[in-house]
Amino acid sequence: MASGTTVARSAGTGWLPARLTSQLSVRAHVVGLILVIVAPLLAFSAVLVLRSAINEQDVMANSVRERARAAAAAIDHQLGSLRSRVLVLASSPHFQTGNLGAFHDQAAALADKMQASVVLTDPDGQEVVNTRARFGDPLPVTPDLDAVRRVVNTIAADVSSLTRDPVSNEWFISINVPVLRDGHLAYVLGVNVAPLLPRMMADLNLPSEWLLTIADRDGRTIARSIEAERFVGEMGRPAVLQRLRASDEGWFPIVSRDGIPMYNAFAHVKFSDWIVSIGIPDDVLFGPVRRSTSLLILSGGTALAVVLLLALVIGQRIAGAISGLMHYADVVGRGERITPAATGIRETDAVARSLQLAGERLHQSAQERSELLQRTFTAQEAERRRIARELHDSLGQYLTALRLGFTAIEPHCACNPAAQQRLARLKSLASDLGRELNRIAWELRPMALDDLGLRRAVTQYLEEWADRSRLQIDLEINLDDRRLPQAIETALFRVLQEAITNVVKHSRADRVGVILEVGNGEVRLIVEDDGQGFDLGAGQDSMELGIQHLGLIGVRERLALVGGSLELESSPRGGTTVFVRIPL
Amino acid sequence: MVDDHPVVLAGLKALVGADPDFTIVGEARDGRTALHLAMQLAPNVVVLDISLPEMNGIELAAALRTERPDCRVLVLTVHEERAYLRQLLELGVGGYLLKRSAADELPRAIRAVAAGGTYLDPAIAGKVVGDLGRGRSQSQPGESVELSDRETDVLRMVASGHSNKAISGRLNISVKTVETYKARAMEKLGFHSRVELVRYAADQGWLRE
Repeated sequence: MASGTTVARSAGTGWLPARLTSQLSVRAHVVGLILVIVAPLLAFSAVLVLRSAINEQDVMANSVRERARAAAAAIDHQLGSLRSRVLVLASSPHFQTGNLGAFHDQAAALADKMQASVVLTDPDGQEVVNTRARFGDPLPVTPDLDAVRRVVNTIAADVSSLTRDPVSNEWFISINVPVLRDGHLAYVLGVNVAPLLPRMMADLNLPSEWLLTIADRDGRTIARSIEAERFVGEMGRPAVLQRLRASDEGWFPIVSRDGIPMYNAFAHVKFSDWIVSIGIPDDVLFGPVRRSTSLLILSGGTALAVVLLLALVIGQRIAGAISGLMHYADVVGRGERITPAATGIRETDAVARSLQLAGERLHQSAQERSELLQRTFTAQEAERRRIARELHDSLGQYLTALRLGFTAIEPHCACNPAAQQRLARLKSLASDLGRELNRIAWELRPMALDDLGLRRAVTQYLEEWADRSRLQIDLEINLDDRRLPQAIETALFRVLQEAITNVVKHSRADRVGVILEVGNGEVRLIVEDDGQGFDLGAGQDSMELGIQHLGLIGVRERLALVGGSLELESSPRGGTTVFVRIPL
Repeated sequence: MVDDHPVVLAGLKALVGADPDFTIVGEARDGRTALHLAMQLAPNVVVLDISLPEMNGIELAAALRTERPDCRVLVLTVHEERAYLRQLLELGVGGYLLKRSAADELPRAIRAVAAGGTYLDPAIAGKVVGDLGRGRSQSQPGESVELSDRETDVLRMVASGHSNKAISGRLNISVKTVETYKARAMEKLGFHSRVELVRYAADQGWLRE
């Protein structure tokens, strides 16, 4: 049956392999269906979310590059305005008069205003005025001789490299301009802008987690927005410097000196040839994508879980409804009626109603059939009983009368031996006729059953078999000397006849035990033989097969009419036992 | 003489009446009249058929036994089944004669019964045997037999007519186990069939509980 179902199904759905279709449950189908619908939706929304996150990332990267360019321009502008102020100072009238003391005071006032320091150096690099020292104190040679020489040679403004001020031992980076007297370079005037750098950076208003670095023309770090004390004065890494110098502006990924991976944008400051770098940590840059991804995974996972749960619940519901139908079908198959409960699904409800209807019809026809069978059996038994009685009482009596008549005329034939012989043969014929009549009547209906009851009829019947066959028959009857309803007695007797005939014909038994007893509100008939038996098998319908095997279907129907049941027990070489129970 | 069939009754009367030893004191064609007449006429022998209207031969024989114990009964019937014979012998009838033998044997049978003896038709006399297969001795095992509680449980249920499957369900053990217990216990008791077990169980009083 199972293989038949598979074939039918595989013919129905061509696009799935038969093996798979026959094994997938309704639940699996529903889950699969929902996945097929939901998965592309989820994938689509994932693409959308990721794309917008990447967009955001691009916007941020662009803005970083933009800010780096803007920062370089701003610093250029500030340096330009500082240069103008230094140029103004360089044209101080005190140079014409040669009163350097007055110049010191003027420079100190400016330095104070700018919160920077001003240094005046002669062309050989010897400091002449330093606003960080009192006028007249001995001053050292400038530490950045190269810068002084550059101004002396070019007679143009210039920005020095980062050095330490030998007077104050502070970081020092100056805008140097030439001071001309009578058309000749007399001094080099420098303003230290190092103290101004922090304010310049603050003016850029960058987010705190961004890293702003300014390097001088040599590649030395002159300012840094994070951990300045640690890194200012450090030389840049050659590989990094190479990339920074390769173009006026650009970007590249980098791992900062503190070990933070970042996206780095840079731009050159035109006047000072500084390089302004703005680094944005990957954490910040990729934040949107990461947040979107985790949000996506979380919400997608939740949605998927909810959907799957829903699918399982729906699948369960359908499967439940279908297995309910299976149960109903089983019940209907047994010929019983059902009152289906609502399944909540229109189609299965409809099937259940159809099953109910089918069950009603089946039940009704089974009942009609059973009634018909009952009537048939009753009529048959009645008819047989009547014929048997007729044979006995009417025909048999005439036969007796006939024989009596023969006896009566016997004396009259005493003188004629031929007639006497003839008469004797006739009497013998009548005798045979009587015996035959009796046998036919018995087979039609054992009148002992009606006249004497089940116990004696059964005893008698088994005794005859004991005489006729080599079977050893053990009989135990315990009926409390009561007469059972006629229908039950007849059924039991006929069942016994069938069972014993089976034993004699098929079992090859030496011994048969018959137990007939009343108790616990029922009458039991057990027929047990020690014959060859057979394998009932272990299946659920093994009993059914056994009943068919022994041809006891009619017996069971007969028993069903009086509410009785038939059970069978057998094993190869272990004999067969038939159990009959009829409730009283 | 009791027979519901007039032709037969006439034939019987002719047969018996021809014998000078017998006098027919009364005749009846149904059981009730027969009993009535027997009470009135007090015959030595009543010859009766089994199939009778009103009150059948078996009932009549039973009634005669209580009402007229001195009256001997000879059953004359077409029934060859020993079930009838046994039942009637239990009721104390003196003779059982088949109608097909009546023409030859009736006078002899009446004579035997009247003399207080028993007459059985030779055609079925051979069939009367003792209780069918009652090997009572077999169902009395030695006192030394000891059954385990489980074996006793199983045997009790077998004896009360349960199938192995039903027992396995009741005792919560497998059918195979039931078979094993049953086989072992039956072997201990030396029984070969369920019938012996049922008799043993009845003796042990198992079935009353």
